[in-house]
Amino acid sequence: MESALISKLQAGEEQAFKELVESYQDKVINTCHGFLHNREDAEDAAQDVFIEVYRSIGTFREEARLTSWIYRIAVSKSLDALRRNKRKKRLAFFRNMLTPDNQEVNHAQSMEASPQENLEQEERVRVLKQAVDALPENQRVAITLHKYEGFSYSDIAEIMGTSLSAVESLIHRAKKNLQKKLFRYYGRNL
Amino acid sequence: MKKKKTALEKEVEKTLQSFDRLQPLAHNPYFYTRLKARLEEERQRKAGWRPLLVLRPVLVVLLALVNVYTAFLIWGNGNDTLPYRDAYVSAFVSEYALEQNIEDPFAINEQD
Repeated sequence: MESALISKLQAGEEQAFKELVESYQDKVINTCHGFLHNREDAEDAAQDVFIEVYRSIGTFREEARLTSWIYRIAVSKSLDALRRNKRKKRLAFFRNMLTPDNQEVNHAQSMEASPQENLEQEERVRVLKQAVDALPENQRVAITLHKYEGFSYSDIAEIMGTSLSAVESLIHRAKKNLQKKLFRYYGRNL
Repeated sequence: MKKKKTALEKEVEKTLQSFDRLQPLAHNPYFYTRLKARLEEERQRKAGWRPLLVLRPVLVVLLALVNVYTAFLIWGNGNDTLPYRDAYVSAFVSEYALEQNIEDPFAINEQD
């Protein structure tokens, strides 16, 4: 099934590319969103991912699964976009101080909860995202793929090109670091 | 003190649980159309550069020819340019009165 799709893609069949985009689009956008926390940026990064897939499918060897290959590109493009955003933010420091933050904060709103509870939850999500962003890159990638996208440890190992035990260790350390950062944050702000 | 620690632990726990409450983004039905437009745009931009890519070897050959011609002018018939050079140097020397301070060209001429 997968190798038939790969052959069609390598032959340049447009219908096959459309099928590929339609089946992976949501997961790729959500993966990018896990890193970038902004829908527009996530969609731009996802476009970069599919353009890279379109260009490089000819060199793809079936040693890895197509899925892992696509997510590996998604992680790399998201990290590139994050670096670009950081550079832009540094340049636009004063402008950002004058305009409100446009990051999406309604990610975890619930229809049943009261506005007060929703506000508290939004604040928790914001704090959590900040803490995740402050993790070392490998830990951030592992925890984002696991917690935001629900990838299994073995999937993450394949995407990151590392061993299962390394992923277990990365996620364990990421959780410990997150706890430390959150304790420190709430210790100052509670 | 203990109360604060318990409150802290509770808040940290609640914050970590926010991972499980994150909702996936809604499907964007226009994503493929936008992607196609961007691919097409990139294809056209690349096609715009193609004539220049074809001309690149021609430009390299032209540059090499100019270099060879310049080298020929400099070293090819150097003897012919010698009389002109001497005349030019003596005109330059007399124009700036360099022969008066030929031993120390930077010395101040006291007569001036």
